[in-house]
Amino acid sequence: MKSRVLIVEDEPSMAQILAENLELEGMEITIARDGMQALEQWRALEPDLVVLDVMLPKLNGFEVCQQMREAGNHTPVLFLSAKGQAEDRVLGLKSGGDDYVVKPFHLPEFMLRVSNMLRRAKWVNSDLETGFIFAFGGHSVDFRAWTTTLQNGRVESLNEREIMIFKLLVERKNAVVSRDEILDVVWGNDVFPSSRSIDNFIVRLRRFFEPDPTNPIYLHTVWGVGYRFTPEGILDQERAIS
Amino acid sequence: MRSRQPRKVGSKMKSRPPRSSYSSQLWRSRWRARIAFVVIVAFLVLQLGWWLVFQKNYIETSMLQTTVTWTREARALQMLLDKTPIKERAKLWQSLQLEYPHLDLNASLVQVNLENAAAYRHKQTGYLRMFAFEGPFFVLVILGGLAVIAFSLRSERELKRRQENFLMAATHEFRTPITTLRLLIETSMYRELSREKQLEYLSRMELELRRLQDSSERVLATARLEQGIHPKEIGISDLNVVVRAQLQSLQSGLEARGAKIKLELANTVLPVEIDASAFGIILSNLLDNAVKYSQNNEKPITIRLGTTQNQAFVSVEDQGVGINPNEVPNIFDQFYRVGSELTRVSRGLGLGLYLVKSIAELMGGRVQCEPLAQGTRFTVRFPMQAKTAPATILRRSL
Repeated sequence: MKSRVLIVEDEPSMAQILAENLELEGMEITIARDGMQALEQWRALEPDLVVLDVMLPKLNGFEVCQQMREAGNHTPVLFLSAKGQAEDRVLGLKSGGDDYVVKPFHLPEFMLRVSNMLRRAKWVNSDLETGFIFAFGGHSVDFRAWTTTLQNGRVESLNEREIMIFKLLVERKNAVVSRDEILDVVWGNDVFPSSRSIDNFIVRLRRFFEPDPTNPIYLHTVWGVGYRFTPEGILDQERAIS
Repeated sequence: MRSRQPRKVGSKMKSRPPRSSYSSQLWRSRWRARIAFVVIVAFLVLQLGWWLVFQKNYIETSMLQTTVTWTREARALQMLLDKTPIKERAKLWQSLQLEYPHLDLNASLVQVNLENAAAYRHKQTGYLRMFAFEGPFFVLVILGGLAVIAFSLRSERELKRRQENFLMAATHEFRTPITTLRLLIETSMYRELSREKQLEYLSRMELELRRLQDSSERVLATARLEQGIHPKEIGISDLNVVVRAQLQSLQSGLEARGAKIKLELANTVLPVEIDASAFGIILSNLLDNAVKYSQNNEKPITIRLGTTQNQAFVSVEDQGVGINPNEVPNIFDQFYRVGSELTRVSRGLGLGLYLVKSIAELMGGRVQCEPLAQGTRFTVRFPMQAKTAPATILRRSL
């Protein structure tokens, strides 16, 4: 099925050339000319990716993105802006954008970023080999609803990063997943958090799933490399002895 | 592909739209200034009120004490006089009066001199009146000074806002055509395009280049104005001829953007002292605005020439979105653009009308903007010259 991309750009010539290039890559393109139109089409079309300009008539791109995020929409957003200051990028990412490209940009780079974001979105929304629910140690995780039902019956919601990190670890269960790989798959492009923030997400996941988060049996740290998920629940010491 | 599941938003997200750190700083400093102003005014008024009440009480107490003291002194002197033999009383009173001028002796009765008492009271209430007049005057002077400071702070802030807007507009006006040009070139380089598509891309590149050229011309013309470069060719020309000649070079570009230009030349010769190329900047900016603010596909624009009160005029009239009459006083200011750049509706740098006004005034002309029922009319007037008069040297610098 074709990926649907919504381009929000008030400069007709720029919107057209971007649309032509993405169409040539087999995508289905819709163009919105101002902020209000962007909101309408975003809601109506449910696109797989939104390419969003910042300086727009009626409602600026930051506000458009923030409104959609507040309404619970998580379609990936690639900001495209002539405003290239560090604080503008920060504002873009804070308002809920996933990537920020400053005009003028290199066409192949733009195309690569778009396809990476679409690939990542597709991966997040795809089911596991075993379906969209994964059960282990009495807990179960719903990858469609982004929720987990814990052993004690409590239902918790997981955020986008948590669900992506956990999905990656589940797909590669019993194997070591490096921090670099997590950064590449979960964050992508050049939006790099510190490796400390990956640790913070793991700490939160451990609080949900581990009987004793200080002695994990499911989410193990492999020092200097990354993490390993063992659905059977093995203490690190036991594993070392065996 | 399935769309992502909706879910609750993280608590970190705030409902307020993101504000740039510059504008939030500006907002905070504006509120700090307002609060400081209110505190100073309140403090001044309260302090003045307290001073007046204090002075009034002080003067009343002082008057009461003085009256009591004088009455006591009168009694004491009376006792002294009563104990003095009658023949010595007059001599004693003479010496006492020097010490107690506020007391009188009436038929061997010592009394407070009523005139002196009234004069004293009058003097004291006079002080109170002085404080009551000078105090508010002092507060008014300080408030006036504060108002002047607040006014200049506000205009400085407005200038800063305009400069920030200009920087954003310039960033957008230069980067957008550069990006589009780059995309068009890269698409031609990386993809196999048909001959038709190549030609279409070339004509789009030409449009983008023209836009870049227009923007850079405007910035350069503004820089020239500021640096005081003298016009090379100033002379007496017929405004009809100048407009027709300038229009020839502009017409095709404007018509490509949908303009339908109607030129109404004057019946008579309009000799004016202008620099034809500088006048070209005026005309191109007015026409560019007329097209920019006409929304329909057909953009009728009328250029009219004529005379009024010994002045030659050229007016550019469009049937576009018009202009809010409240905005008219500001539109000729440098960097002035209606609204915020983040949600801008029209392209531009906020320099066009500034150039129109500055260049017209340097050539002795005047510009006027009239909002119409539908659209806007800009009129530029120049003083009519005698046809035979030799070209005088423009004294003011351009």
